[in-house]
Amino acid sequence: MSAQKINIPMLGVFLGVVAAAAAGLLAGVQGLTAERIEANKKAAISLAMNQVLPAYDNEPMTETNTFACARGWKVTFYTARKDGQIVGYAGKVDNTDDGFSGTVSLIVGLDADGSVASIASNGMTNSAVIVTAQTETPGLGTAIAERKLQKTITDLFGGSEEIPGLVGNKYLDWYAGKKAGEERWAIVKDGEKVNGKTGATITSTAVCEAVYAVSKTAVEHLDELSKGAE
Amino acid sequence: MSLAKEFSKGIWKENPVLVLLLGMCPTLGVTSSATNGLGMGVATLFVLMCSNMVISLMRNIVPKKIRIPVYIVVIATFVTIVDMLMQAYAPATLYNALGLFIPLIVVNCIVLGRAEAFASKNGIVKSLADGLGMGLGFTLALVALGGTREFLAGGTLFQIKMIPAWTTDFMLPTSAAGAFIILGLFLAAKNAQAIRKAKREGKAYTPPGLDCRSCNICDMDK
Repeated sequence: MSAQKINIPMLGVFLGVVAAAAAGLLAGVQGLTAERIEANKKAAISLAMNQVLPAYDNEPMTETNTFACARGWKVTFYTARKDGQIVGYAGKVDNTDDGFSGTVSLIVGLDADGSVASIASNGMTNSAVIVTAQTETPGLGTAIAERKLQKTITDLFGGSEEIPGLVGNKYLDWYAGKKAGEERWAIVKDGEKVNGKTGATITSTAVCEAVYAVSKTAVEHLDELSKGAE
Repeated sequence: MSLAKEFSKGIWKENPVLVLLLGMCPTLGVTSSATNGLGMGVATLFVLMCSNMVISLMRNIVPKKIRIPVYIVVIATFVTIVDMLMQAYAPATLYNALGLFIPLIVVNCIVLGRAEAFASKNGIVKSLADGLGMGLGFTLALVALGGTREFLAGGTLFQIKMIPAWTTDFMLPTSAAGAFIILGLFLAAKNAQAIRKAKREGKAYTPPGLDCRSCNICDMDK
């Protein structure tokens, strides 16, 4: 130690130079990717929107209303029109804080009266509910949130065709046609359809609360919504 | 050691997960499916090679006193680049599954460990071989672990159902406890194999630990 004195300013300058070079490199990469990242985010939203909305001919992305719901979350509504008439709304709520291991974001397609839309696809009636982001337990919580086609090894070699449209999910499809009233929805079993899974109550409730919030907010603000964008 | 040996030691003999037991956080955290394990492995492989390369190039000019902060800056830079590239070009489902873990590569001990133990003392070609080998070893271990957990839980591999009639409610393998149990079985198997091999050669098995060859702390004040 004594033989060599530590030159602290020199060390500081060295570290500064390294950090500046790193910052420069990052700025370059960010410049290259920022546009694409933004486009990816937009594409994910518009893809989900196309799946939950009926046929429309306007640009819902540009016709939006945002309201706060009773739980304090911001719900954004995208208005879909055909020949000028409102055919439905897509309600988007991001990062509700009820999930089991993180937040839940979803998009719900609504009919013009604020009830959750039904979509007929592949001979089944699905609800227009898509969970766009979640970090639930794989296989347990995700079973409630994901619309994923299960491929089997025989499909892979047998060359079965991809079926377009929404994939059924009995937990999400429970919400088809439901309209939020005064009372909150609970986790219930309704004939063949249930909206909750044993062992994943927290995730089930988180999704239920979020869908309810979207529908409820739409019902409460139906007048403003029907007037169009702010 | 020859270049081929530097490369191959990371894959089996000194596998970072199964032998050196480095990087346990991502190992246990992301391996709920084979796809997640592969994504995490490849992202770490990329960061490891880049950081090994740069740190090897800088090894003679970095002052000893501040080498760790410098390494962390280098590693963090590459991790952020991987994060942005994956957001832009990787499938959205993969990024959503790994998003939380990508920033954690910064503190993954494999990356800093190889920088400190290997790249700071060896030339660029050897360091690249070491990074590639260690990264591949990490990836293989993660895919094996993720594949086993995924298969036991749902009969699927890479999200493709292998056995149609399989229970969907066997949740232990995908839970954190299951990760520990299955990793323990993997480690036991790897150790048994290494001990048998050493016995056959008539030697006692000594695990390749962090010995004086790979530690710089005593040199710090010189």
